[in-house]
Amino acid sequence: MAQEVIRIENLTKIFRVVHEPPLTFQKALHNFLERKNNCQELLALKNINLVIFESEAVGLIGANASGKTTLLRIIADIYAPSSGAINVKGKVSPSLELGSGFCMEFTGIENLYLYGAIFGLSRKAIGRKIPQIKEFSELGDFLDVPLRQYSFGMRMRLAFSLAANINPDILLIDEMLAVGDLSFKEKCFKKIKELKSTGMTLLLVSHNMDEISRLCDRVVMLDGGEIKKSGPAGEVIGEYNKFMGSK
Amino acid sequence: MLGQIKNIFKFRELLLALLVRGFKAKYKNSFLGIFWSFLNPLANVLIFAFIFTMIIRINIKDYPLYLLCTILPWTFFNSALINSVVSIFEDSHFVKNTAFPLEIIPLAVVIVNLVNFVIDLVILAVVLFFLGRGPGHLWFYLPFLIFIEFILISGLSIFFSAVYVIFRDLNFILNIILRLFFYFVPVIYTLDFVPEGFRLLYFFNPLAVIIDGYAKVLIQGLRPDSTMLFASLLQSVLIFVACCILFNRIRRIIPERL
Repeated sequence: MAQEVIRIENLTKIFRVVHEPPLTFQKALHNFLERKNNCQELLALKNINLVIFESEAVGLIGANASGKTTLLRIIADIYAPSSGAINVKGKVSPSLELGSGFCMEFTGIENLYLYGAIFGLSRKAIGRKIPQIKEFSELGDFLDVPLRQYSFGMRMRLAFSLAANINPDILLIDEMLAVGDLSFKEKCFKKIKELKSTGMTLLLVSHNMDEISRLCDRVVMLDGGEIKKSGPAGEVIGEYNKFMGSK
Repeated sequence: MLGQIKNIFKFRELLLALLVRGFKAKYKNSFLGIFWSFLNPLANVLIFAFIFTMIIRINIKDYPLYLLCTILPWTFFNSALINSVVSIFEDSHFVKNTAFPLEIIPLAVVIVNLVNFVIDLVILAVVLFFLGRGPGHLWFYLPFLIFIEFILISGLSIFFSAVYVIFRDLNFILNIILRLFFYFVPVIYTLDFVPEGFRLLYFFNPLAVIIDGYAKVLIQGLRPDSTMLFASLLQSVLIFVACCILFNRIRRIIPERL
């Protein structure tokens, strides 16, 4: 039996959504005087139970705002669960959705150093990985250019190359592959399979069912913050297509 | 608390990377680079020196030099706080995508300012040396003063940078408070000018004691009052601890509010 890497029990996440947040003092005072409370509780995840094993590839699918990204962020320990328990073993890769997490004023290399450091790698260790990342991303001299001059595709190349080459125990991919061109996508697939065979666990959020069925052993379908269905890729994707079609 | 410090140590590479970034971002494309950190307070010194020696005649010996010795630590306090308050907010892209101890962000800003301050002090020391005013054994107090000020600033910065994410008015409020607070610290005057009745209040102002200490040590050739200094250290540590406790209470909701 493979080892458990992620165990989630009865996890619930509630966001306090402030409509027209009173970010300024004037508004806050106004709200306070009128005894208006425009806070609303938003149930983002409801009673999630999920166990993921080592070197398993799990796909997360669901409509927009169904809680996929929130779940990834809780696994990455960015958000705290409102209730329930979560136990994650191993190092989680940064979940760079479309590379939006990069610092736009800095060059590719500088961003690699920063994220390497966040991931816990020393400057030296990241420096050793840079040739590898440069080769994989095929970005070449663009690595010395500020990120704001990158296209979406290039950012994604950088984000994936970084995440895949720093040997995380758990790789999180949030709709990242969508903007890659065909040849790079194939390269990513190959890399993911290679990493999987060495024991890495993969969590993939995507709206591309082809991607999901090619990469994932198991698929979890979320709807309104709840797990609607979980099981082998083919089965769940069938259900998902039916569900989306009926909407 | 202890775990927190351990955690920061674990992420020291990140702290280093943020420091490198801080320096690069600050002086990118500027010709005079790091000298700006000295030229800015120097401009203030010239203005105050002109006003208080030419127009209002203040009775402080070597007033321009005195100002230099007090304005530098004030500038450290002032700019470190102003720069750090928005720091977590401005780095939202990291905060939303990875988990790491968030207090590292404001801490890095404070350390960048600390390094600037130390460079300023070195320049000041050279100036004092050429004027035949040092070095003296009293200068051994300097590391201690710097340490107290660093603790005080770090605590406040960590707390303010977290609160700013939730309450964006803080930035403006802080600006006004700092402008007022400037006059409650003996920068343009010495503590001797303060009437006896009020002087006790300065006992509860850790920054006032620190800045008075710099002036005493660097230019007046006096030993800082050790009771006052100890009180200032105690207050600074208390403020630091209180700020960290408050920070810990809101840290988990910060990524959600960005």
